[in-house]
Amino acid sequence: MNNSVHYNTNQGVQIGSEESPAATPTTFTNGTIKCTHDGVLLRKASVEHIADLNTSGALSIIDYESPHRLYIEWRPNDNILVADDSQDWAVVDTIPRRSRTISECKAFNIKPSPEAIAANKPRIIRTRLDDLSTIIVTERGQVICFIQKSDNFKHSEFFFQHGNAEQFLKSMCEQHMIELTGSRLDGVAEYTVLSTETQKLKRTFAELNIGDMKNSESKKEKGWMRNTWSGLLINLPDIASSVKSSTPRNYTSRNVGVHSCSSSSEEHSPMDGEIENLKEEDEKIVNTLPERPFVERTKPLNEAQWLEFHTVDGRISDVDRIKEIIFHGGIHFNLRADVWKYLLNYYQWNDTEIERIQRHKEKYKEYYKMKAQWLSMTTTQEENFSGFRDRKCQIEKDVKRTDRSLDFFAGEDNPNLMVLQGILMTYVMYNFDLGYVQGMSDLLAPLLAIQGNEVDAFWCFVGFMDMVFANFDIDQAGMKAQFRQLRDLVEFSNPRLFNYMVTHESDNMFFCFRWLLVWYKREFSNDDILKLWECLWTRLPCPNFHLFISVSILDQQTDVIIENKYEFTEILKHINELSGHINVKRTLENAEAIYLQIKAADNLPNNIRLIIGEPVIDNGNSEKEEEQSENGTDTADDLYEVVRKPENDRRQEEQFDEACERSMFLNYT
Amino acid sequence: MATTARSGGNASGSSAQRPNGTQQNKNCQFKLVLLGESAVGKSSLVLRFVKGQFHEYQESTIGAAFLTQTLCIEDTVVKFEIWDTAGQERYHSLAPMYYRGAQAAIVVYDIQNQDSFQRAKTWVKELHKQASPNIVIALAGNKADLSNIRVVEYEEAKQYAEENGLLFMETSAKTGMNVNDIFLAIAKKLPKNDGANNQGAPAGRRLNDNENNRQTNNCCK
Ligand SMILES: Nc1nc2c(ncn2[C@@H]2O[C@H](COP(=O)(O)OP(=O)(O)OP(=O)(O)O)[C@@H](O)[C@H]2O)c(=O)[nH]1
Ligand SMILES: [Mg+2]
Repeated sequence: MNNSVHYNTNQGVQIGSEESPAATPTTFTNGTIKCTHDGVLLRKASVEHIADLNTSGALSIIDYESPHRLYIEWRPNDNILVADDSQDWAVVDTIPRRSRTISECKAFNIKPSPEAIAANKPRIIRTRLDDLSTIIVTERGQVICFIQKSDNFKHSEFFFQHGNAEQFLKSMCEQHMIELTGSRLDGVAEYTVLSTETQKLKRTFAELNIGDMKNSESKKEKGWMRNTWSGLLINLPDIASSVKSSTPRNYTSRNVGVHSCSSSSEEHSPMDGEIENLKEEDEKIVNTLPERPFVERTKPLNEAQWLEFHTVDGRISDVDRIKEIIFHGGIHFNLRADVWKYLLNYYQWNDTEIERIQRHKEKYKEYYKMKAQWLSMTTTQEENFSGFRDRKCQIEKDVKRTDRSLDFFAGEDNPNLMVLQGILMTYVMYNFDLGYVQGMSDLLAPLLAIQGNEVDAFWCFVGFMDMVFANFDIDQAGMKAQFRQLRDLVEFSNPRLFNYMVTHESDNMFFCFRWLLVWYKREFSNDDILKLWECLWTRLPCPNFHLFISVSILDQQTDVIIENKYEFTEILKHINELSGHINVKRTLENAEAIYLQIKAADNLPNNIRLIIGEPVIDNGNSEKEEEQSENGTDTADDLYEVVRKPENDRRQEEQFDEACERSMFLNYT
Repeated sequence: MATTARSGGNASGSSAQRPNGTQQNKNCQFKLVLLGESAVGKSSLVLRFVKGQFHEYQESTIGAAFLTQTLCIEDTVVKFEIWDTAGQERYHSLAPMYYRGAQAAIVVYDIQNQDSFQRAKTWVKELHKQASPNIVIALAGNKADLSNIRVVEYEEAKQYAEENGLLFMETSAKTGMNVNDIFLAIAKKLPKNDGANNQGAPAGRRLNDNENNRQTNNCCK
């Protein structure tokens, strides 16, 4: 028989199958694939399969002619290929030769390919569908677990690497093999495996087209999917979440009669009541933000434009205009090396050509002077200088694992790694107190790759560090201050998310740690990070605009976070996993739009004004009323002092620390 | 022999008897934190355990990563909530956030690096002083695949671990050696009683997912 498969129970597992008592080989013939999904990792199974744990394979439901039963089968793929190690916990593509279809569920009568059948491996996991009682879906649809009938224990568990199990289960439902019997808001769902008889019955009903039954089934499924599945979108770069949040949101109070909402669903499911409540809560906050304006990125600064800005003696004229162009469109690739030197305060806009050459010379000298200092350190000196040793040692550890996926740093013994190390060591001598802190190599690597020159990269790096040095405070004061500011911005611009975070003990914003520490370096591809950074280096349109990038990403993730009911740890996990899936263009546009929206707000409180560099006001309208009346000062400058007065700072800090603690030590009850 | 689900129909007598006569898995959830000097391989161990992968150029950890993985031991499903921390001393001030409330910790050192072993000892001390009193601590001598250039002797670490009541294994995230095993050993040592969730005492939180689902199942019928 051509399509026959020989299957030996001694080599595989087969539980509770009457047709195949152990040690009696069973012959499986003429299998028809009912549905299949590739890229499914084996997460758990009985001991025999330990070698295949975490291996990727195809999960299928197969109908064999002999023995005539439905079987669940999982076959490992042979070639395991780690494709992408540039991202922290990125999904790794383990299927080199197959297209990454999200699902390949087929309805009926598709014969498995002869090779697939011939390649019968003892490693196959196969069990009769009849021997299973339940299928449990967890982790937002990515993990499914088969429970066996005999003892209600887990038979096996699988992880869907690409997409999720939705299509697979849907196909099983449609073929009346299983039935959705329970789902919870946190995404856990349960399907009951239907007995062969029930399956037949259901199929007959379906053929008779009993509409009601079908409808109620699909309705149940829809509600469940809408509320629990949205979390999966994070793995598919910005589809639904972005569609939703691209409509400008308008947080008006109900009295004004404008209904603010971001969800546009028409069908009603039990969840809708809850969403409704949330919306109402939103609207209680009297926070009238104007329409979010439409912002679109423009073309990058090009060579012709750049030359136009050069005066005869080599100064750069109209710096504001240049920065504006860069802020809105970035810089053409060829110009980056040059223009970055200005943006990073290495070259001065106002220097003539001659002055610039002079400065360049001096900076070279200065660099090599500092470099000579550590190069000439003797072994004894080093032994007696633990502060230096520690810094050196950490640099060596990090240089090895910084941006190795970029061509510029790829490969064993890449000489650019030594340059990277040299610059970081020299920076230690330039600013010994700050020295070297993890994360700094991330900031330097792209600069070096663009400058392609040790000295220029160093001075650009100095300029960049001047903008972000507070991130590396030993007591994390700089980071904490930014979390507070970010919290204020989210509170003001996105009360829906803010309220959610407060009630879910996540308002410390701690999950943005990596974003802020290295200015989103780990979240974007190299190309995108260059675009983002050059935009942020212009320091337009306001101080702390880098925080608006966070506000913008969170804005795009608001629905996902709320609808999935993420708690602190899940938010952190979700945020970490966004890496590589954030659209830089939209994020920048959205960030600016939110900034403009906030800036145009009527009752801009002083805490927000301080963050975005607007003059603070003292007209009694502000939300910081108490602080003003207490002091009774009139001038903006004095008020600035008031808002920042130490006790206030301390109180805020205490509150913040408390919030931090609260969410970090969640009580799991 | 880790991450195995039970097979076969030979239900063991230790599993809880449910009213309707079927046996029920116990579910426990534990918070586990990885500590240790930078570049000893904390993230690599987690990546191996959770995803079965190893990246030669694993990026340094910034802030913290949170991952989960589930193990089955006999009739108990143990879910680890794993906090992978950044190793550099500069980020030490964040560490208490992660280890406080943790029921288990893996303190990692690199067998080629004496300093990292000393640092591991300091972590153990700090945990004994500051973490939950019943925290289960495992010491992992990582990069065991480089044992030919080791500087920390197995016996030395073993003895230290015994004196301080730690689980101890040499591991290799690169080859996978002892990686699942160390997590499994921890899971075995953790109390899996399903008594009331007493504050402070590190008993795993019992989950009732399956139970609830079963019930939904019944009442839907
Ligand atoms: N040979 C070998 N190398 C390893 C092993 N585990 C980790 N490494 C390598 O050691 C380096 C550091 O590993 P990480 O997992 O990033 O170390 P970490 O402890 O998480 O470091 P931080 O995040 O900085 O705290 C990487 O280059 C790894 O590839 C191992 O078992 N054997
Ligand atoms: Mg790490």
